[in-house]
Order: sequence, then C-alpha cells, then structure tokens
Amino acid sequence: MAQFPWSDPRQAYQQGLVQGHTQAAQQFQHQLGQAVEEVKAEFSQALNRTAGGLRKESRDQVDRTAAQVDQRLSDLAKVSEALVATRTGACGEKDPGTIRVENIPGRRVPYVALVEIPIQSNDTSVREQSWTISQDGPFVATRRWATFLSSFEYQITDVQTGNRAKFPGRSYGRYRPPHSAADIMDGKFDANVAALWYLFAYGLTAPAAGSPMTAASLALPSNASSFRSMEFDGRIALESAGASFPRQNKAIPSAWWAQDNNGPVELGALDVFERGEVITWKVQPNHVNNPPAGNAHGAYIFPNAAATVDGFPFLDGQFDPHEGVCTPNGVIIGPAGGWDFVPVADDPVVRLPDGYLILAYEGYRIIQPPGLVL
Amino acid sequence: MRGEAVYDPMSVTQQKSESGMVVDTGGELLQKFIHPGIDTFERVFQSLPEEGMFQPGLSPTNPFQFTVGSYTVPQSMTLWLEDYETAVLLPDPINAGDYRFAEDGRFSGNLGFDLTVADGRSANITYQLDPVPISAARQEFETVVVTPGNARTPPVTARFNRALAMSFGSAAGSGSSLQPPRRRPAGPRSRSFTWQIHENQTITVRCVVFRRVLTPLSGIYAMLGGHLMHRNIATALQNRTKTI
Repeated sequence: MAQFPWSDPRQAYQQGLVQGHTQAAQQFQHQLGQAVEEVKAEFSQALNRTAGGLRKESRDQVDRTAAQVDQRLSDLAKVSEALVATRTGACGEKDPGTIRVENIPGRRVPYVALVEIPIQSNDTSVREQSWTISQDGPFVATRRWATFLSSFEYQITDVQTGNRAKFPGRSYGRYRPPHSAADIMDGKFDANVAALWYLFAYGLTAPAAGSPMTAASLALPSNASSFRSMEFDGRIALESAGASFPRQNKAIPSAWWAQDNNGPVELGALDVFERGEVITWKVQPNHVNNPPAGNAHGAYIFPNAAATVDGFPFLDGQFDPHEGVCTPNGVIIGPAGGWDFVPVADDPVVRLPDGYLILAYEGYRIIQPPGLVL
Repeated sequence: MRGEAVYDPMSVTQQKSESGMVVDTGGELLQKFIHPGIDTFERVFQSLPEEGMFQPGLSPTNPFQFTVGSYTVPQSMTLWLEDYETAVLLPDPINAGDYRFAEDGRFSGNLGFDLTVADGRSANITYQLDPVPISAARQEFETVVVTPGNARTPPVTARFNRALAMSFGSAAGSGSSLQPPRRRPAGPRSRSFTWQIHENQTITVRCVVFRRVLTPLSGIYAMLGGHLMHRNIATALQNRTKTI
C-alpha cells in the first residue's frame, strides 16, 4: 500500500523543496543552452556572411585580373601576328620559330658561286670582286674552292730586225695551284745537272786558281726557279654586304682555300646568304706572278763585261725552262772561239705573267618562285 | 596603348638638329676630342744615304733596298694608322749640316717606298713609277679577261710594254705597289685614311732604289702617324660602325 507523501509534513516539505530546486535547475539549464545555441547560430551566420563576401570579392578580383591578362595577351598576340610573316600552303605554320635550312621552302639547285679576279703582272696589292645573291632565293654555301688560271704570254723582239712575235707560255690556259704549300717542284730541281756541269767544266781545262768560272750551263739549278710556274700565293678575305653577320673578313692564306693542290675545303658550317646579299672576295697577292727573286742571273753566270750589264740569262727568265721561253741567240761564240761566250746584253723577251684567281663557294641555291611559295 | 605617342629618338634628334634649338656643350669641340685612353702615335724615321743608292749597277732587276723603319704594335694594343709620308732629304744649300725635303714626286724615277703590314699591303693601289710607253691601241678597249678557248687573242704590244715598265719593283718584291716619295698617304687626299694594325703586327717602311741616284742625298725620311689604343677600345669603336 502506497504511503502518502504528505503523511509526514517534514518529509513532504523536504521533498517539495528538492523537487522545486530540480525544476528550477532544469529550467535554467534549458535557457542557458538555448542562449548558447542562439549565439552559435548567430556567429555561424555572421561568419558565413563574412566568408561569403570575401569569397565573392576574391573571385571578382581574380576574374578582373584574368580579364586584364587575357586582354594583354590578346593585344600581344595581335602585335605578334602583325609581325610574323604568315606562311600559307604546305608549310602551314603561322609561327615557324627557328627555321632550319632544311625547312626553307624551295627547289634545291646545285650551284657554284665564283669570281675570276685578274691578277696582272706586278700586282701585289688588294684586288677584289663581288657576286650578288640572286633574288630567286637564298644561297647555301658548303665548300670553298680556289684555283689559278695562267695566261702567261711573252713577246720576243728580234735584235736584228726589230720584228716582234707573241707566244703563249706553256702554262697558258692551264689551271695552277692557288698556293705553293703543296709544290711538288719545290727544291727538286735537278741537282745532278749541276754535278754534270761541274764535271764537264772541270774535265776539259782546269781554270787557274782564283779565277771565276769561265763558263756555265743554262741547266744550272740556280738558273731556273724551283717553284712551279704561275703559282699564286696570297691572302683571301670574304665580306658580305647586306648582312649584319660578318663573314671571313679577316684574310686567311690562300693555302687554306684548297686542300693539296686543288681540293675543296669544307666550311665549318653551312653558310646561308640571303637574297640580295653581296659577297665580296678580296685578294692580296704575297708576290708578283712568277717573281724574279734571287740574284741568280747573267752577272754571275755569263757576265757581259763588255756591256757592263748583266748578260744572258736574265733574272726574269728563271721560269723560262718551265714556260718554254727561249732567248734567241742568247749566247754567241766570241772571236776567240771555244769557251769565249758573248751573251746578249739586253733581254729580247718581255714576259706577261698575267693570271686569274678563281674563287668559288660551292653549295646550292634555293629557288623560290615569286609570289606564293609552296 | 593605342593613341599614345611613340618615343622615337631619331625623330627627336632630327627635330632638334633641324630647328637648331639644341647646341651640345662645347659645340663641335667634342667631335675632335680624343679620349685620354687613346694615345697619339707618331714615328719619324730618317736613314743616312748609303753607297748602294749611287752604284751604277742598279736596275729594276738589281735594286738596292733597305728598311727605313718599322714598328711592332704591342701586345693587347691596336694601332690606327691614319697618316704617313715619305720623302727624300737633300742637303740644305744655305745652312750647312741641315737638310730640306725634296719636292713631292721628285726621285720617283729612282726610288720608291713600300709600306707593308705583316708583309701585306691592305689597299688596292698601283703606281707607275716608270713612265710607260703610250699605247698604240686604246687601253680602255684592250681585252682584259683572257678566256681559254678556240680563238686566242694575243694581248697588244702595249701590255707587254706596260708589264716591262712596271717591273721596277718586282725583284724587290713590292711590284707595282711601290709608292713614290710624297708627303701624303695613299688614296684620295680629301678623305681620311686608316689602316688598322693589330697587336704584334709590324708595319714596315722599306725603300727600294731601282735606279741609280745621281744627286747627293742627305737621307731618306718616313713618318707614321696615328692613334694607339687598347684593342678592346678599338673593337668597341669599330663595332659602332656597321657594315652596309
């Protein structure tokens, strides 16, 4: 049986007190939690509002910047487009970037660009000639060549009649090496001829001690040049007008323009000359053609004492054995006969050792027809 | 960007010079100013006469030659030779022991000068020191290029005459580049003259007497003038000029 709580007033009071406290505490807790929740909600809303605003602002800023960059890129692209020559057709690319020689459109035609530079007798200073790249297209050089064309001629005046006759030398019209470095005749003249001459001279009548040689031979080694006739030696420079790229503008020896006697020399790289450029070869001879150097002449071989000048052979004649030049009646036998040689005093031969240095750049032209390039 | 004025220095310069509104400080003084980094260069060489100049046996094929003077450009330097002159010195008739310059061109039938840089002559020059017989055929119509072919045209006699007359310097090695004694450099007188001589290269003035001198001489004279500078300066200056 249930006992009534108020049966005991103290107990009832106590119980009522506890119950009242509990209810108040519960109500208070409920209200506090509600307030916290409200604050949370408010904060969250405020935060969301702020974050949302920031996000929007950032996005707008980025969008604006991107739009500006886009605009500038677009401007730049327009400028670039205006600067770039647009290729159409097979090549297709708008911006070709670095063009390799292989990519230059046009038909390849092997070609040798060459000049013939006259090197006349006694020339020792710079001579030049130019070649203009055709408007048909660029020229690509791969190798260089050089050779020397002799046009050696001579004229003989008859001492008695005064008649003149002209002859080409043996080297006339022949191609010669453009340098002496590979000269097969260098120092090779017959030493045995000199020995024979000595034997011959001393074998007949021994000259008195201290007396000069009484006679000589035209075959004396000192009477002929040991170098090949009409060989060229010089320095060659190459300049290009119309281009901002300097070429071989410092002269190099002609010996480096030919391998061995006449071989081509590979260039260090393909040399591309644009249309309209002007290649100029400048040549400076090291010596006159067929230089009459040395002191081997008639003064020491056939001294013409009576005329007090140098007799035959003459200094200019040291290439005569090679060229087939002969001085008519250069030496006649004097009244004493035997070894009494009387050489002519004046040289009846005038030599004209003209030549043409031929310089070439070997390579190919890239023929590009005017207008549309395919 | 559109519509903005484009800065064009050339147009500004032209405007200034055309209107004459701007005068550089110092006027035109600066154009002739030589920076202290560039040294003034001059050498005068004088040689006493030698017996060899007067010997009877002298001829174009048996010349007498000697070096009047030479200069080797020091390491790392470059010489711009802008002037030179050569002359023959004669005894002064009034002031004993002194000398005077022979007139320009005098003795050019006896001797000449050869200027070489590293044994080269960097110019297109030809001098006929020996007078040449007149051509019977007009020289301008003589065949120059001889092309070997079927028909060979022998050169006219005048060409042989010229070759013979111009052989005065061949035995000496200078050929037709032998210059007459005169007090000015090669080339046009109204224009500047410059030979660039690089480091370690030697410029040499040689005298070639190819015919006997019959006059008493006091000496042989040669002068070189120019500017000496470090090769980097020379290169920098040269790079300011542009090939055509």
